[in-house]
Amino acid sequence: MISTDIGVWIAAFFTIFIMSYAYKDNPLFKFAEHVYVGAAAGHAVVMGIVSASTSSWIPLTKGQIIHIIPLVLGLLLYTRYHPRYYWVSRYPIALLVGLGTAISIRTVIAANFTQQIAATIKPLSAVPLTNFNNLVVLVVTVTVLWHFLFTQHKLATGNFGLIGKFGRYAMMVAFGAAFGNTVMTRMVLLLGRVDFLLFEWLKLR
Amino acid sequence: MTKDNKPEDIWERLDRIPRHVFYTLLLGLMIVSLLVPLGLPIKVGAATRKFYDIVDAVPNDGVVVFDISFSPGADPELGPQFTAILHHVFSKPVRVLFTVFVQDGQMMLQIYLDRLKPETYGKVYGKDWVNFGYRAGGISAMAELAKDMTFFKTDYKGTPLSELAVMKGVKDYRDVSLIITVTTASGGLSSPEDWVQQWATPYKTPLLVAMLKMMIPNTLPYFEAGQVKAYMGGTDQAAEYELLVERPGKGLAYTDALTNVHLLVIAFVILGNVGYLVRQRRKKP
Repeated sequence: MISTDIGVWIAAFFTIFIMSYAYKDNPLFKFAEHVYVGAAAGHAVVMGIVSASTSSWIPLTKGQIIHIIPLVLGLLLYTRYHPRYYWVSRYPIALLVGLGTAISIRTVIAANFTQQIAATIKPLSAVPLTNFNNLVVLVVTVTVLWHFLFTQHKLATGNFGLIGKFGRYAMMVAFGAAFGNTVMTRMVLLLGRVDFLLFEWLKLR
Repeated sequence: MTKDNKPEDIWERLDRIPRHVFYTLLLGLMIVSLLVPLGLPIKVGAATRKFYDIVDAVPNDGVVVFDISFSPGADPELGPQFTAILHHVFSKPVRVLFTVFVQDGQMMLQIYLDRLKPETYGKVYGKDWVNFGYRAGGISAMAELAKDMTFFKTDYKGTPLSELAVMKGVKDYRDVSLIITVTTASGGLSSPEDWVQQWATPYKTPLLVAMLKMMIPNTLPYFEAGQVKAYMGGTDQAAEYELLVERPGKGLAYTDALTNVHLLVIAFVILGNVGYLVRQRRKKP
């Protein structure tokens, strides 16, 4: 028995409209695309307002004066639309960038450099396959880095060039794996919509 | 016919299969596979088993920070993973703190909580679990949360966290047993990398990541370095987790279709490449 839920019907039609792009661009696809973008933007605006309200406005009305600082800084961002006072928006932006950088840099050296470098050379294991895997990681890391030694011409040509070439092939394998995973993700997304059409809209089960 | 009015041979046709043919076959195969599942055997892989074991090892009354950072677009892939993990977590006597750092996350969390119904697991809101709700700020909020677990002050309904029994004794990162993030978020918002940088590296809090299949290559280095303790990606691992928690769901339902569809994709890749190579060879003098 087909669904009687109006929401499911709307979702089903929009799904079909979006899928119709696989045949060719058409007005129904355009309509669905614009509605989707509009709905997403609307949702983001509402969530932003609710967030600003709960984290700043409500505490402020309860006497927590300190919350006026983020509220004012947030409002100052909108001065960028004013032709004369746009420069004021640079202050909250500078604060945001500075804060973000400071929080990241605090741990990025350990998280993305030292620990990653340490993980490249691992101690020997009792399991031969683990040792082989660790060796592959080491060889591939070194050869890929070698590939990017552009400033040293001697290291990028001749017999030394073969090292970089191996690194390039290793990168291609990695890109292939990433592409394969991407295809898999995309297929599942389509599968999800087909599943919705078959079982939530048409109720074929 | 080709441009010089010669009839196209089989190799040229293989090199130029219209996309409509591929899409039609793909859609047809998906529909048939979903309607008539083959029930292909599934073996639980080491990665999924490790994820399961770590969740299972959380001590009684331990605190799990469960981060939901995905939007409806990723639901087909992350929904089955989230459902299976959430079922597992709710089945254990642990406390769950839900965090949301992307705007759509709150909606997705609510949808799945409505479906799973925590009360059917004997879980009481405020005593066994709490939803902090969507919080802006990304890594800044995440970093602050590690230092002060009551940093948000209230839950998503506005109830002060100090009034909730679930927060009793939960002061900072030292009181958190495990972080699980179900994410598609990009850097700065609640990506696996952000959790690695703000929690797993400085405080050594065990971190598990459930993500899109396509995010695995970027997250694997953190797993190899021990910063991510275990990971899940895609519906295939969701299916494996469903087997482990004995709760069949969408993951298992999609596996047959996904296998068949990939066979089709592989067949077309081979056909296209054969056609291309033969044509290239013919062009050579």
